[in-house]
Amino acid sequence: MGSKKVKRRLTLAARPSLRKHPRPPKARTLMGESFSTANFAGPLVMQHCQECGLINYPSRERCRSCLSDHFRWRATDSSAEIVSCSQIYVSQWEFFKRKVKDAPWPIASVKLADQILFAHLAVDTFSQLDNSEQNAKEKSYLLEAGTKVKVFSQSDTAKKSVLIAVSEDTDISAASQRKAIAVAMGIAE
Amino acid sequence: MSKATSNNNSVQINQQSPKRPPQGYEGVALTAPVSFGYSKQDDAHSAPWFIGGVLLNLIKQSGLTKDDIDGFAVSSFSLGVDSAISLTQYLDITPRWIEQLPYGGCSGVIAARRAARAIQAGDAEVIACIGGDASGHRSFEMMSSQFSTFTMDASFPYGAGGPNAPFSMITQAYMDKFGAEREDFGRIAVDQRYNANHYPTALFNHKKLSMQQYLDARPIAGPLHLFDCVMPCAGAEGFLMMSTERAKQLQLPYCELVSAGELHNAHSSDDIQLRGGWTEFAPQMFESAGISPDDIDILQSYDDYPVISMLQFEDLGFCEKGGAPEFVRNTDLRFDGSGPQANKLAHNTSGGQLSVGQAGAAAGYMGIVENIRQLTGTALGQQVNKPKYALASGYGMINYDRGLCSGAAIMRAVDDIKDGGRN
Repeated sequence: MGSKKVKRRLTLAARPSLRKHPRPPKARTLMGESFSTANFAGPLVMQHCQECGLINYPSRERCRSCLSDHFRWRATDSSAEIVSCSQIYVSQWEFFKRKVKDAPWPIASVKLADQILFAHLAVDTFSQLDNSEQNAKEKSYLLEAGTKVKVFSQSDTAKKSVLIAVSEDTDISAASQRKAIAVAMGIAE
Repeated sequence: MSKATSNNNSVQINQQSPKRPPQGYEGVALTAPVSFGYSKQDDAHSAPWFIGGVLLNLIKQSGLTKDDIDGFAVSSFSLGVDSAISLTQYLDITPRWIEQLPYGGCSGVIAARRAARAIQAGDAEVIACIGGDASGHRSFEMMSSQFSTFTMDASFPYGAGGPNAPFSMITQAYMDKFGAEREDFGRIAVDQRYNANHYPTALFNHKKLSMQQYLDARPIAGPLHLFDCVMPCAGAEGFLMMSTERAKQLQLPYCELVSAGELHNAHSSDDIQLRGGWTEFAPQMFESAGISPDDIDILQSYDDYPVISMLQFEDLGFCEKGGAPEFVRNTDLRFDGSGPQANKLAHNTSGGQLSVGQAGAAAGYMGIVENIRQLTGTALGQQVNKPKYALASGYGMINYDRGLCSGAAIMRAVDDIKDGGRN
């Protein structure tokens, strides 16, 4: 057991997981860790610049607009819209490698407060998508650009906050509802 | 708020009083094109082996010695603990001018621009520009998992390792907006494979690719299928830059740098990347050269995915924005003009990365190197018939959701056979 642990440490981030249940990527920069921690507290917490008011994402230590370092982590409205969708058939990461064996993994880039966010796409919440088993394997989950969505953060099995996009009419007001969506997608337990 | 602030950047570019045009590149020669060491993943050699291999070939080809090389520009993702400066000791060279250019697919164009100015200013006389990468076991995975702050924090955790995911979104958005079909992207890939079938260094030299094979390929991400994606590999590219006088003295076949431009993180407030920095500098670049896109005989676009070649066709002025699907339907992109279309443009004449393989940062040097061969009449089996002008375009560093670097250079063959040694 001890030697196994050492081996895993030496082989760094990109080696296939030896776990029975592999986890999503865990490595973050310090700001990524801050984002993750800040989001344990609420449905969506983002960096707000205290000088110019801009919401910054991905998280950083200087505002992309005014270069101030005066930020506050604050609850943020979850309204967003789809920029583009995709589904991954091939991944380098063991967790996703196993996911895509069953069905392509849907993700989206969404625009929230004028920032571009990548998010897992909870396809089951979109009534306009064909979520039959047949489609899951063969067709694509294409949402039109501009489709209104909600985005929230959820702690995944790597214990890091990740973003999930759901349809506009999905009720995500309770933590239990948000978690249930993530569990159904297989990224939280 | 952010719209207003981030829009400022592009507004400034467009509305500022015209910038003073850059000085020309008179008297600068590009010579000694080298493509070296292409091999598939898991090659055991290190990056210095590839870079040193190019250096050895540059010396052999030019008849110079290591001591004559007083400038050194290098790009590599796989140097690990090494850098341009530690390579000087590794290869025991003593340059008085040194550059390390970590700009991925734009590295070669930027190296040529930097080196040209150094030659003109007299900071160096003979500059070796080299891009090379090893491909150790799982090195590509390692690179994508730790590419940048933004990818680590905000794209890799979603399974979006490497550029496939962002490019599948870009390709999908491009298809939705401009009505491109998979066949349109396929035309680029299939014609490039034809070129690669005539270029012995290409890793897919021996494999033909039909449109049907392209369409039937397995899916990778969104609308991207296998032949839309480059194969990461090991390999290296390089060339020498010196004054035209020196090149003549050495009786080396050379071509000239005519004009060039670069712009980075352009259009940063666009939601998704459907244009690059080329839109801002290409008109000036062509004006400086005194030519139009119609005069270009060879275009080497950066082709990590076909859609990005389309953006370059448009942004460099070969067709209107959104016109690339029609452009590729009507244009024969083969090196020998043997395709059925009436309009001809020799494009990615060695097969590009899609058919040669993507050797890390070497891929950013490939277009320049291939253009030097073409313009000096020394292509390796797929010579375009007497080209005069060739354009090499660079695009690099897919960070998070888009590529950040754009660059391009127009190169010209030397007319006088005695001067250029052409043919």
